[in-house]
Amino acid sequence: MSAPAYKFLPPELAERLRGLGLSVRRPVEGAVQGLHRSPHHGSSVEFADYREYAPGDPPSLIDWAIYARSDRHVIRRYQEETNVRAHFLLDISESMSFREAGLHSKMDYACYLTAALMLVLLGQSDSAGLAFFNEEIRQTFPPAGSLNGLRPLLLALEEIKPAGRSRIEEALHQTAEKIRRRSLVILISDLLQEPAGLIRGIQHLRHNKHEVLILQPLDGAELNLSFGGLAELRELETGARLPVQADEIREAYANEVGQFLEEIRRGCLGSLADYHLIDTRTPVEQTLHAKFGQL
Amino acid sequence: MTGLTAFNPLFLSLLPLAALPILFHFFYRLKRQSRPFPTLMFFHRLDPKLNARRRLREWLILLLRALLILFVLLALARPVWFGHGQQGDVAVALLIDNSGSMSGTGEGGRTKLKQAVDGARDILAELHAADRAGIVLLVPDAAAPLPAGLTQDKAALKLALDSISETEASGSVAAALDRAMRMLEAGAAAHREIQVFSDLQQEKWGQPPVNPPAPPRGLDLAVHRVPSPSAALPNVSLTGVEMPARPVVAGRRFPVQVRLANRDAGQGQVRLNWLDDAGNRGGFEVAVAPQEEKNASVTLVASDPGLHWVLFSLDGDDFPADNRAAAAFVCVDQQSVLFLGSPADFGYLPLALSPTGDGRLSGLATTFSSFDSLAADKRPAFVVLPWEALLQTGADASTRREALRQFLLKGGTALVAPSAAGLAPGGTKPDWLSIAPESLQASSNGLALTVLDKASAIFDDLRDEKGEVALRNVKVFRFSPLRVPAPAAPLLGLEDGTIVLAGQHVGQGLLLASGLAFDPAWSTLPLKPAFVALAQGMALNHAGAQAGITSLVAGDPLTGLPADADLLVVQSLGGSPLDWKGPAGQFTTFPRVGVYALHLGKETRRVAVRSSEKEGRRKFIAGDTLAALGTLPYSVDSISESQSVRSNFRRQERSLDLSLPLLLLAFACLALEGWLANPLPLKPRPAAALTLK
Repeated sequence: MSAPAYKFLPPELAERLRGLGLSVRRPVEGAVQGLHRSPHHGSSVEFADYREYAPGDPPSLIDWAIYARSDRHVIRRYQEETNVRAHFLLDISESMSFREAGLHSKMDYACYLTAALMLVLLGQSDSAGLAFFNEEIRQTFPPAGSLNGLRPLLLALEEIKPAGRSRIEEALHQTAEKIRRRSLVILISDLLQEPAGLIRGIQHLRHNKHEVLILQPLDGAELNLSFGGLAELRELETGARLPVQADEIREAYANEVGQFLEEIRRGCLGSLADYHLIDTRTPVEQTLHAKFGQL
Repeated sequence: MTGLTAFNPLFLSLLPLAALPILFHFFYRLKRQSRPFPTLMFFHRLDPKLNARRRLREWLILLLRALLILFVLLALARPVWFGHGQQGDVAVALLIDNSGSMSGTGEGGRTKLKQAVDGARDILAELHAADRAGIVLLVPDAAAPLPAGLTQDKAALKLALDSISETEASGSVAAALDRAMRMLEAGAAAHREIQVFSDLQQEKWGQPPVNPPAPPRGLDLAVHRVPSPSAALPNVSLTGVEMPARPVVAGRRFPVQVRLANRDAGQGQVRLNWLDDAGNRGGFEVAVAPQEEKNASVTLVASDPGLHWVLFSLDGDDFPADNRAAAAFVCVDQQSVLFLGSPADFGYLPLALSPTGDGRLSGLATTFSSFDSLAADKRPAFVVLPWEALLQTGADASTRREALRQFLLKGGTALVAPSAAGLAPGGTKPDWLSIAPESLQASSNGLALTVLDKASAIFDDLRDEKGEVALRNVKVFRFSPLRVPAPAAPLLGLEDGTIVLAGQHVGQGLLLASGLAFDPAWSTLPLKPAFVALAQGMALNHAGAQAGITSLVAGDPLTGLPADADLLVVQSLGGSPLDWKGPAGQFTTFPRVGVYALHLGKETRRVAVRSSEKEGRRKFIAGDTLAALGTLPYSVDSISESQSVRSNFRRQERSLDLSLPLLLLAFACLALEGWLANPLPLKPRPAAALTLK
């Protein structure tokens, strides 16, 4: 795999993405043969070869005889498999520009994740599309199935300037209405809104048979207040100001954030969406391997 | 005095500092930078009224900080609410300024001291039976018998007040306060006060204390100002008396210089009077220009030997306390001058020393005798002999020279001069005499006589006001130059440097050697008025100065007394009466003008006291800041402003010190501020509040 010198896909990162895999839980529709189960069984459904087991594969497909002999989890390719159309939905609201404790701003971190996962998907013969949103969907890129096709998407990532307020629910509803074929929708956002709207958007996607993967990058300073004493906070998206005595509310704030994240986690669980909270203090590569790797 | 009085009003002027917390708040608010944050959602979820609560708390903290400063400043100002609070036993020290300035006329034509005493009497009238009071005078006055310490005997206190009279002295505010505080400390009253009555003269009350006394706990110091109306006439002060340096001889007139000063803007016109111990009196008008000093010369004469005194006083201005001075002097008996030779040998010198020869006018009686009578004669004050008698050699020369030397060794003064007929050649000088005359010289045009030692005491009566010795163009035609090796010293010379008068100390005595005969053929000196002063200066030069007489300004401490002396007796010889007897360490000062004898065992000293010139300076403190009280808490009011001192004191008797309540309020503000500024951490919302839709 060649690694072009994109800002969010540097060669050393691209090189280390080997071994990563991204699968879906339920069958999706695809025109090209791929790694994911197809709902359509053809006449030539027979054993072809083996491949390594990837998270998300049904355990029932594991060839236990091979495991007994070689201590490896492999899946027998005996039925026709199809490719996945993945649609990345990237939050570009101003709150994503925040960085205090993290290695990158949330926006940059999200771009790294997007670029890396798109490359992983292409490596699986899947295709990846991209859309940016804040108050509404701002820009859309049709799915690309090759590295050349991926180039405008990677360049577009480099052009992002976080601005505006985000309306996630609206973006999810628009996406659900726009995508006709069953696909994998990957939402990357800090989700700093009331969880109820987010859950409604996810349920809309799920109702349209789409798989949903949610990645929530948050800075460490958002999870726990990193400053002390009296400070006047300015909300990035609205400009609203609030003086706070950090020492007075530190514990209550952390608890409130924890409850908020728990609400999201439960909502995703209830909507059968995959949800991952990502701390931007963790290196991108380490996050990818932890969430999607077989290390 | 209002019902609420601050004893440290300086702190009231600092009250605007209470606004500092609010100013700092706005200043830092302007400088405060906001911190970007992704969302405020969690804070609002935590407490929707978080901002409103925080703002309310912030303003409460600001208010408490301002109140804290306000209460501390008010507490430091020591506010006292008169007329309220508890009334316990009261101990009052009535400090009355009886210094010279208080003898000035106050409002209503009464003296300021009289008003002060009336004010003190008002307070005495308000005291309850259990209250105690004492009287302290700014100038200790032995003539005013005061109760010792605090007493409940109001009648005795009133009698003591009646005995207080004007002095001519300055006093120390710090020392008087110290005496008052020590008096109060001796009592155990619940409430202690010092009530001061004074005209607050700048000289005494405007100077910071060198050693400020430490006040006893719970002391209230109230100062009642006795107003000083502006004076109609310029005030002329008698600032000093200068007696002659040499002893006064009985029957001999002598000048006394009296110094006057006019510190005001108008021309001072006064009459200077004098009265001596013999009842002689005199006086004359003196005009003193504004802001000028002037010397007035008074010629006196004492007929009898012994101690004499004279009182000087000024009439014609309206302030009497700086108008008097006493001077004392010892008059010695008529002095004899022994001329060893015939009158023709000495030219005009006998006439200059004693015009009548019997001691009248000059106090010097002349006798002419042979050299041989020096040893047998009654010891003279002055011996004059011609050079020939001293240089003459012969069988009895050594006897004569030894007689002269013994006379000198015992403190006598002698003059050796050429005979008016001329200096006979030959002879030898005694070994103990270093001065030697040379051969006679002449100058047809005359050579000017000059003074070579201007500091010599023989010229004292020739000095003008600037101290210069004026000989007024004396020409010398004949003279015998003197060789003057050490230890002799030249006194008079000629314009060419020739020495014609020199002096040599021999033992305690003085030998004056002249190269001039005191005859008009030799010089014009005998024809000049200065000759009389010079001749008598030489004759009395070594007769001893005034001793055992001390000059003092009224109110100044008398130094040099042995503190451990058991008994000091002070007797008034002239001037204001004062008779005092007691341990020397307890005697303080002389409050008035007079001449006093101090008997310490067998020793007797004399003190001449003059009034304090400072008391006549008419600058009085108009404000409420008295530097002399240093850091002591005090209040100032005016007797004329209040209806009466009595009503004020009645209020003061019941007073509530608000310092402690204000301090408690300050502490309460501090505690509340600390509680608000350091709130307990906000409790987290319970997890049950999760709302998942």
